[in-house]
Amino acid sequence: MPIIFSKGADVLLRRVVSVVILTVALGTAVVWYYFTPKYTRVGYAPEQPVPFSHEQHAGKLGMSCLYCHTNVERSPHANVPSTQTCMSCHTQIKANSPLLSPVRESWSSGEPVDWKRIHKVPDYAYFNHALHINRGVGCASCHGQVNEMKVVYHAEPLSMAWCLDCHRKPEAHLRPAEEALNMSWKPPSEKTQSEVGRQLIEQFHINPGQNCQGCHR
Amino acid sequence: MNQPIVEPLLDGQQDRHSRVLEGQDYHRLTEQICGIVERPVPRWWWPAFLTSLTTASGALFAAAYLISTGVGVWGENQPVGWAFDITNFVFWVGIGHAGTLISAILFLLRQKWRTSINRFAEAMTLFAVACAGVYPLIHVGRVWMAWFLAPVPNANAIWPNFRSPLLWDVFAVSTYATVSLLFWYVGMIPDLASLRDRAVTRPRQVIYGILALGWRGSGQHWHHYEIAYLLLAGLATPLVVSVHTIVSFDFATSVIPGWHTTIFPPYFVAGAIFSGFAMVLTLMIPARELFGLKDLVTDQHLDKMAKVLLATSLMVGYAYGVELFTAWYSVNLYERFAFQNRLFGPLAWGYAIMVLCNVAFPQLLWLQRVRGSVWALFVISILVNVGMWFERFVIIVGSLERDFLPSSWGQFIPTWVDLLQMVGVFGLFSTLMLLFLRFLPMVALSEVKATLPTRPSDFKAGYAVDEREHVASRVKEVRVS
Amino acid sequence: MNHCPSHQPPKVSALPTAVLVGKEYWRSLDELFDKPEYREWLEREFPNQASEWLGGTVSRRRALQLMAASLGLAGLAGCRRPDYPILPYTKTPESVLPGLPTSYATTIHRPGSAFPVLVETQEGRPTKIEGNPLHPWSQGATDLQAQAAVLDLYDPDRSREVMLTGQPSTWQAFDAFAETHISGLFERRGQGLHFLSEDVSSPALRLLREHLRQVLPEAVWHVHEAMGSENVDHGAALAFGKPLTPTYRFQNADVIVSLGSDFLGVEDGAVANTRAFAERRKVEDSLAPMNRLYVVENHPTTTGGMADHRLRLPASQLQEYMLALARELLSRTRQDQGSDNPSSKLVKSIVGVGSPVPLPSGWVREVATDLLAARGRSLILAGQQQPTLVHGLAHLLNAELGNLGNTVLLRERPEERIKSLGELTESMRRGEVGTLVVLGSNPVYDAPSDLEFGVVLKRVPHTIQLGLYPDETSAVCAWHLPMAHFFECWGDAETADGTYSPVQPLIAPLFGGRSALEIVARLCRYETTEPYEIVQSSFRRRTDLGMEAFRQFLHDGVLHDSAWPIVNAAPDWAALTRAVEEGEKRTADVGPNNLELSFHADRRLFDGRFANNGWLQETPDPLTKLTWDNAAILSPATARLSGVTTGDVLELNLAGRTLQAPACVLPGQADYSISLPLGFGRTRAGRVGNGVGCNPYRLRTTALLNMGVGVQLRKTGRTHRLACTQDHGSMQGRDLVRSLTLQEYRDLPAAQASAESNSLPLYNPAALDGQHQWCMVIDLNQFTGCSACVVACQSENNIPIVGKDEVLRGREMHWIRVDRYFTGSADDPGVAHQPVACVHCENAPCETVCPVNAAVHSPEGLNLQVYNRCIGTRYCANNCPYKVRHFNWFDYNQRPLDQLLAGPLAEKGMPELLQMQKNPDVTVRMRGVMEKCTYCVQRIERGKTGARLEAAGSAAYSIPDGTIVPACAQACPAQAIIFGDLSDPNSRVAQAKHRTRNYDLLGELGTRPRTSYQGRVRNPNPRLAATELVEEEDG
Repeated sequence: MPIIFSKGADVLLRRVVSVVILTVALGTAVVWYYFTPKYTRVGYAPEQPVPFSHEQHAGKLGMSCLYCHTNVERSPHANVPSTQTCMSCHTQIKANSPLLSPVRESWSSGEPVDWKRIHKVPDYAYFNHALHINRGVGCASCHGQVNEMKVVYHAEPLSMAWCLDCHRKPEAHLRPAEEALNMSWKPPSEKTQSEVGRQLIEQFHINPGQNCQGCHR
Repeated sequence: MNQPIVEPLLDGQQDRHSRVLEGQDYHRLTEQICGIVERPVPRWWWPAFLTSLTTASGALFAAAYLISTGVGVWGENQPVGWAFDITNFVFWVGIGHAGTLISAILFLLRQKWRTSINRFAEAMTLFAVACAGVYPLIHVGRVWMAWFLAPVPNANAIWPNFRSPLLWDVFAVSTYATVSLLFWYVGMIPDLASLRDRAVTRPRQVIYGILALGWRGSGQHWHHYEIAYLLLAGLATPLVVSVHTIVSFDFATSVIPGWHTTIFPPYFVAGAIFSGFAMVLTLMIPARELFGLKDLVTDQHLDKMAKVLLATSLMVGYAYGVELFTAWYSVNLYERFAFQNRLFGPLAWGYAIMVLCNVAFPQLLWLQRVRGSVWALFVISILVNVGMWFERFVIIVGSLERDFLPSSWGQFIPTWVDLLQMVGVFGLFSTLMLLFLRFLPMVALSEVKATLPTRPSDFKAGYAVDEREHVASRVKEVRVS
Repeated sequence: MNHCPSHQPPKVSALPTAVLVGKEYWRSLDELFDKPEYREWLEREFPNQASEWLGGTVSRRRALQLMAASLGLAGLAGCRRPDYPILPYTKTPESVLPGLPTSYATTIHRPGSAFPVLVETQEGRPTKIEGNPLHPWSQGATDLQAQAAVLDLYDPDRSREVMLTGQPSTWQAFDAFAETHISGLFERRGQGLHFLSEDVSSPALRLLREHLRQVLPEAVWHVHEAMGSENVDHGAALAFGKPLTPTYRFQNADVIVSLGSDFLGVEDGAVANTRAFAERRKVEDSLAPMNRLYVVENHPTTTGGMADHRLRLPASQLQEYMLALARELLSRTRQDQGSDNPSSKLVKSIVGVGSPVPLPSGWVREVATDLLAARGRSLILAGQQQPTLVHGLAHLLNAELGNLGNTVLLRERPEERIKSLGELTESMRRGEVGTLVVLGSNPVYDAPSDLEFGVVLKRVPHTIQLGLYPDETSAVCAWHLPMAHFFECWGDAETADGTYSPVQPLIAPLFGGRSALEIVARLCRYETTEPYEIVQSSFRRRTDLGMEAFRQFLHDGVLHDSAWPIVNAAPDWAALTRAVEEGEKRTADVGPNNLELSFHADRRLFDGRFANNGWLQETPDPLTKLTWDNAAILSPATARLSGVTTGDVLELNLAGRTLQAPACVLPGQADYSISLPLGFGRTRAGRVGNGVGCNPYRLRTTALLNMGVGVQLRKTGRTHRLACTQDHGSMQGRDLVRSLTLQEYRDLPAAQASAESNSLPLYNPAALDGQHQWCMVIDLNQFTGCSACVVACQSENNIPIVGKDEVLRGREMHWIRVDRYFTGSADDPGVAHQPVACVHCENAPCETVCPVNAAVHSPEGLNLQVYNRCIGTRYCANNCPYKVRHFNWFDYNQRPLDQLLAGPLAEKGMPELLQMQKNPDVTVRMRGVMEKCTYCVQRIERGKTGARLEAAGSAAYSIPDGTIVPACAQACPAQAIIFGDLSDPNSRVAQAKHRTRNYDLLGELGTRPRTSYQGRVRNPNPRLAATELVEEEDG
């Protein structure tokens, strides 16, 4: 019989096969991790036209979220503050700061400030801020410790699985409704979070929907 | 010398005689089969191949148009949500049954006559399943979301619906395809090896070399090979039954009159084998003519297949009868109407074709004369293919067109895209078939040889010797030319 | 102004679509807002004045900036790239929450009447129309056309700029022209100035007309309506000496006889009529009193479908029947008196007219008996288009039966000198018309063809047309002025009974249109051209109430008890007798060799004014089930006679005028009578309406206005494909629409309640452990088939139209399919309508077969379809026994309907304006996904959220019955659709489920549908039924 392959052929073959297998496995792993919201969204922190610092306002100055996001308790979506809201303070404070020039322009021209959107869910997902706030889900639960953010970034994946986690185990995140806006709320020392949560569930019959109709219409 | 000696094998005299023709021996056999692959292509091959390829590209175009524009380019509508797509899917899956049946089941039953046709049938099976696979994929509205069907953990924390027969299909068909492929390939290894050994050009040596996985025909190899083959046969056998059973669940588990019936699983399996054998005949008859394999695929083979055809035709016929009886016996308004509609409704012509082709004409096979005539067999086998296509069409479209509420009744009219898609897929099938005939051994050499009578001369000049002589002569030929 | 119940929570205002590109969306809208009319809006009208609504000082100026913001919140789902912008407001409005829908009360003008509505706006965009619950004319319900009106507002084909002889011009140019031209007219005291308007019943316009008469006494005002109500007025004038307006109290009528009156269908006030009529059909318990309806008509109508007894008579013989009935009744009411009393004179004159055509014996005798038995509780109605004499006699008989004041109210309205279109054409021919101002009307299309209006119009030196569209008339007029849609301008209106209601703007004119008030005020130099002020002064004139009342008026959308005064009147026997004697004698009898042709308003496009509305074009006609077409309707007998089948193109020749129309064979049509729906065959309606159907106005003349005898019928040999949504009219012996007579219903043992389907599900049934269990009951006894629900659903749920070709393929998307079945004999069948939407099976066949879990069940019993999970295998639709699932075969929302097959080569994207109409609470579906009725899950969730928010801080929450109403139920004039919570035993729906005539459609399949039906109850007159039976046996 003619010799077709050199001695190393078998080894080569094995190598090729194993490389192929590895590549496929690696590819899967890459897709698995990098194509999920966990990676694609979390950490997103675009540059805003005005370097607004939540740390300064919500943190150091301790302003309430409601001062700017006025509708969050009443409306499905927390509104972004109007130029008017900014100007109500910044006509006196830092009235001439160059950083605030876009705001002043907007005020004079009537053209809105062009903020960049950070948190958003797909259009076919209907999220209701008011409902969550009123039932005791804190801002921090979804938006992270905004009061410590110089530049706001995307703190949580906001993926469906992530939503469901909480809807399945609300006790892990619930707090008294009146504490919803408190960015630095911690469960009282003598109780654990899940104890507090369970008690609230008990008290208010909290039963987060897990069927599609709640969010998809 | 050519007088064959009686071998103490399972087959009776008659059978052995039919298989072992005058002057048949290892060398001639090898020459004959490998020759097909090694000799320059016959004159008819290229035209045939190019035609098939063009047709196949039609299917590609149709699919591209469909996916880019919407399923609306097909004639489907409300209430007929499935038409040509699923009809062709079931049709091709059906075709894909003969292969594994012949290879696996007949192998386990030690039906040695299978050896000269099983390779061919298996190839056909694979290609048919490939063609079938096209449809479920492209028929969905959002192909790019089709991965939702796969049970993988995802960011939505949703799983597929394991209650849906459509999901069962996905698993059934893919399993079947995989096992058939393995079975086919494993069976082919020894023959690939002989192609490799006979190859004179480097590329062929390399390609067949790789495909042969370093087969040397050692006793150990043969030992492992036999075990693997046996196991795969065992594995494949239940699949033959399961695949079409599950395909039939698509309809049997629904509520639509004409679909919702318990007889579907056996009915569909029988039908599948029926159509499968028909297709084998349709392809085998011209093939054996063109490649001069009359002494391998003998009239006896055709006769046997014809008998299988007759038997399955009777089963199918019985199913048709029982369907009607059940509908009448059920005293169910909707059931009865569904079958009246099948017999006398807008698609009555389809039903007629189906009964004629699947039940009436095959009865001719009772006659020895018909079974003996190649032409008759060829025509009947084609008719059966047509009939089986219409069976699926009548069941699927006919039942959907008129179900419970007369207000929602509709009608299906195929568009040019429907037709192009269908024709194109036939093109794809024949393309694959032609490639197979050209580049792979279409008869399982080693298996046929195993059933040949053994003679002293074969022990003297063994396999290898035989091959060496051959190569030497081939090399001379090449030099001369 | 917010009409939503107080606890109504805010809506989610994500943009409705999963396929829009957010950026383009807000950007282009921004551009829209930068247009002058946007600025105008900031300055003008509705922001400032309307801010004087209850609740005081809101700067509506801000609502706008608000709008920009919420639109900014639109965009695609996404990964981190690209950036999505947010547009906040510059100034914050106090009262408006983004995502909160606000409803305003306004009014839609109708010929000689009006229709009061509430309009729901989303951040300044009108998106949905509901009836005005405070207005007697609507009581919260609507009809087809009202539901569809919002689509007209956003119609891209609306006229966008001032045109002068076909060239783009400007308002400034027109104003300049007007100034100079008017001063000339003022010198001649208005000599040669003629106005032509639609029959707009607006006090403000009346006010301007009076001013016009003072300053320009020579100017003449004409009114034209294709389907006007002159005959009604003339009939009343004949009977009572003055044109009193009759209004009807159906709730008081036990026996109703309708002569060609489609009072439940196309006629004015149909919504109110239906409500009142249905009151007497909802036999909640079998002993409830039920009315009886006799209908005599030539073509099947919605009303005819509801009849207990229906008589098919050629239109030309209705008068005969009226005479016969009059003779029978009078001779029996006044038989005791002598022969010289007015009644017997009349009877004599009737006899003198000549023996009426042979009518089914029972139909005169028994009906008369029934009427006499119900004196004061009966009602005889004549169709608006019926000849004067029929109206006169109807009035007389009603008076004779003592129905005046009980079932018929006569109202006296201020008289005004208005001239007709005929008179206008005359003076145009005589060259007396120097300047013609056409307000909204479109006579070139819908005037009787013998007037040749289009030709004569060319002789007028100065023509000005104000119109919503550049239509047939504007093609001939020198000036074309874009008219403001009634959602864009101030005005006021009166319904036919005189109830006064406002028209307020909900959005600034999108194309800078002006209202008729503005134009007229400018032309007659009224003190102000500001419509808002004109409306105020007309309000002050009509009432002596102050500003506070005006705000209330705007808020309620109606001035309560402002209908015309009710008067008593005695019939003028002599006049009627004379009329009968002078009445033209019937020439040849209608028969096989002498066919008749009758015209009637189309049930969707009315007289053609709605021709460019895709929703209406695609709504199947309740009887013929035709979409995107009209057809010559023939009875099966007539068809057999002339060898015609549906789809054949016929050439109709009436008095020398010819028209080609496709034939449509419809059981229930009177033999030898062909009827043609008007409103089609427009040439300049717009991209939707152009060239759809044929134009019957070409056969219509002043003499043969409503019907003509002796029409020649010829087969052209060509055929036309009619897009019919239902091919099979027979129920195939399946008990789909169940019906029984009142007697049978009363005999029905309570035990025989709807058969509980005993199902053995293959899988564990879905857990139904929600706090609420939603379900629906549809009462087939009240359901008229008017199809308002179909369009209401379409508008609420962002359902696309698919165009004629797709309908022909059977791909219409309507979530509600109104099934129409014929029962009884093939020639003279009964009609049964049955609306079928997803019935939300508890044991749903669609759910088990979906491989990806896109069809799933909610704990509240809803059968959910999750669009973003659906991959479109269509298995669910195949396995649905009700076939109520609809598949997006193409990108209907993203591609032009005529380019669907071009796929990627077609232009992509939804027109800006159409985006504005979409309901932000409902996902707009992309191609390749399945969709179906959701029980308006967005409304359910809104209701629940509201209740939860109210209950915040407390444990449990509850939703009062009737808080959550799906669009279809809300629109239904007959209140045939009840929706509610089954787990609340006191809910209306739970009650209804226990009635003996409640049944599940295809219940035997064990699907356990949540929507159930209430069997139809008919109330036939046993004695008439008997005679009919005899006649059937005779032949």
